[in-house]
Amino acid sequence: MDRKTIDLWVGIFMLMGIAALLWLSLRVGNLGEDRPSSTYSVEAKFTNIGGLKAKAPVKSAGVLVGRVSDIKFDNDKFQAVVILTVDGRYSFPKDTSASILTSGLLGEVYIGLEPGADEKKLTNGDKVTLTQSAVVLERLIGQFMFGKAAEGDTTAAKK
Amino acid sequence: MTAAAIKFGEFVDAERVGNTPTAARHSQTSATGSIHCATPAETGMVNVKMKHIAVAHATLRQQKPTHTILSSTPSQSFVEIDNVDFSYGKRAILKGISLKVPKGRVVAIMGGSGCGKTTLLRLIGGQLAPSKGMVRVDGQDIASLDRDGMYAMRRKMGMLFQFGALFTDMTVFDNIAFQLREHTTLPADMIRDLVLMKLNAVGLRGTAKLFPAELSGGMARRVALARAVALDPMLIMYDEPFAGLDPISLSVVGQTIRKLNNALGATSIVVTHDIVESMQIVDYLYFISDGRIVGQGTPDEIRHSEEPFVKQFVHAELDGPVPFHYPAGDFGEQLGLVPTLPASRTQS
Amino acid sequence: MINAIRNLGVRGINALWRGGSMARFFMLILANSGMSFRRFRLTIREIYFAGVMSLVIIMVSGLFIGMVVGLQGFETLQHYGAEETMGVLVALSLVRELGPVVTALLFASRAGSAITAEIGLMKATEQLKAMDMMAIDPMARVVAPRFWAGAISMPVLAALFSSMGIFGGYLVATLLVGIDSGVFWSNLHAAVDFRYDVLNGFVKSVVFGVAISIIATFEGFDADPTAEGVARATTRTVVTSALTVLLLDLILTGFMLRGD
Repeated sequence: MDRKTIDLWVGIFMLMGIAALLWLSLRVGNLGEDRPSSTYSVEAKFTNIGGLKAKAPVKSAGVLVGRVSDIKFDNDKFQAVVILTVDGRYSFPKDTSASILTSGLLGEVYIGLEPGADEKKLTNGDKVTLTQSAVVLERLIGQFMFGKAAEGDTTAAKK
Repeated sequence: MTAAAIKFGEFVDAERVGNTPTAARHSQTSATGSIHCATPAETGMVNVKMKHIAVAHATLRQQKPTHTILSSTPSQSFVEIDNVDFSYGKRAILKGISLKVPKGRVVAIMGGSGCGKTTLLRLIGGQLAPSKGMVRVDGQDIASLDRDGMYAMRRKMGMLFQFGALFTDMTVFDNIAFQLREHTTLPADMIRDLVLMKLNAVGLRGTAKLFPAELSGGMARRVALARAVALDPMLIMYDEPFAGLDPISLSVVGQTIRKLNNALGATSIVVTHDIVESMQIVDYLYFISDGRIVGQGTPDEIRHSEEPFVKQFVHAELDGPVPFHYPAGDFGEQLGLVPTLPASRTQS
Repeated sequence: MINAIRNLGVRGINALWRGGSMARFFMLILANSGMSFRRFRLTIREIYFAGVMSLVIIMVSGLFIGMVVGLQGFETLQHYGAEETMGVLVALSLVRELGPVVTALLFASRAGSAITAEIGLMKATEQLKAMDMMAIDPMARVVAPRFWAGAISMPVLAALFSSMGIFGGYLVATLLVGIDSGVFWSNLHAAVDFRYDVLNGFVKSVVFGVAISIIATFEGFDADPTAEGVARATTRTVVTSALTVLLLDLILTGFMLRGD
């Protein structure tokens, strides 16, 4: 086998490999997703985060504006502390509320930001005070059943 | 024209380098050259080439500064084996072997199959270490060398392996160029000239582009021979160079061994069991049997030797000190013809 | 019974001993790797034989496996009305598992066995001894370039395998099942993470490549210098590589999935 042919083929081989890796990283994976050049972190406390995990999306009006960077537990107030890293291009009023939502019935859990009307904006290290915890399906069903039962009781009592 | 000028420049440069003890080798290598490629038709070119090749040789020699031929007289022994024992596990192969190979000579080590001849070469090459005794090559104790020292020593050696051991994934040309490329920084065109010269010396310049698999046994052996002398070694070892060759190839290989030794001023050790061919080309013979040296002498002395083993070997007698039969019990008894112990045979 | 246990003991000790020799062999390769990079041409030549020659089998297998996973995934997913996430299923299973593992198995049988046979044959025909006599270390000249070629080729092949597989899944999804190609890609893009999926898969393929290359070169170097010995060494390369790859995959997956 000629030396030049070998060189050529190995060159093509390596190029193909690099192209495949790039394609996997950028097109298939999320490496190419435009990483925000600047971010700021805000803190939000929830009584229950349900199935929320680190790296879960933070959305506002359905648009991805950031990600959950960390989840901790506050042992004084017995609450979950969620750190949200928000893209620096977007700014939100101080009185923005955060709620834990689910896309679809069984879909992924994410945090939705609902902007308020304050003139001041959220900055790095701020706390989001208005929060709404995750809706836990079991509890919801339990409440519903309990409500039904109670309803039944009252109707029975009325009779 | 420019190419020639550049080559000439190199030559002038190397002439200065050649003004060292290696200059003594110079005339000798030129002699090699004239043996190898004295084709009168190319005389004009050859003259340029000769200088060119002499440069290459000078460069090669330059890389082995430890050696100069001036320092030694022909009587000095290049290889010295002193009371060496060797065993594979519990099986003793060599028992107290002592022999000397004088510088510039061709020495044959003869013996039946499996008597430890190849082992002896491995000991000289440092691929095996003796259990007892000392192997000295060019005045240095082989066992005392570290890896680098050993490799430096091996660059002075060339070895022809039993079945050639040519690199099957390379052409004949690349096989011979292999050591030149690995061990020297010579430019490609100089390597080409050297390789063609070596190939010409064994008469196989035409096979340069072939692969070893395309060669006949005899040709492969000659290519391996050319490869063994690629670096102009001081010591050339041949492991069964005649095995499995037809009579013509056999005498070609034999003559080439002798010629190369003379031309290179090298020392050769030929391990073989081919008595007829080796008698014609060697200066001295050693006979090994059962791990011991049982006879030695010049070809003339050997021819008239009364030593029983040597006599049996030289005259190819069927029985003698080397028995025809492998040790076994009585044949008649084994066949059951002699009912010495009838009780031991149970019928079932 | 006692004999069976004794037999097991012998085999266990043997395996341990071979493992130790292999580790030592690996160290030797690393110590003798200078030439493989200083004279990269040696390695390039081996990449040609190990990598380029495996290209066709790897790419065709990748395409077919991607298509099969796509079809099977569709069969199951449509029961839940989630056939649009088929791309996610194909991509994740390929990038995380099938890509590195199947490529490694194919690579071991295609290139690993060839490396073992070649080195074994060189040993059997005394080429390695001849090289050693020429003051050239076969570890540096023969073994190390083949090792590095294997270690370099394997991740490249695995990446190509996964890419072809995803492409195969895409073909099935758009042409056979009728999923919109935009939906296919956006689902896939949202679900595959670079760090946890692509990079982990890449790490796996590097580890497998190193493991197979060690095994292949070791078995060749260690082979009995006979035709039968080389044949047995070649078989051992394929079997040992396959088992090692699967075991390593289990261990690596365990580490990679932890805490996620």
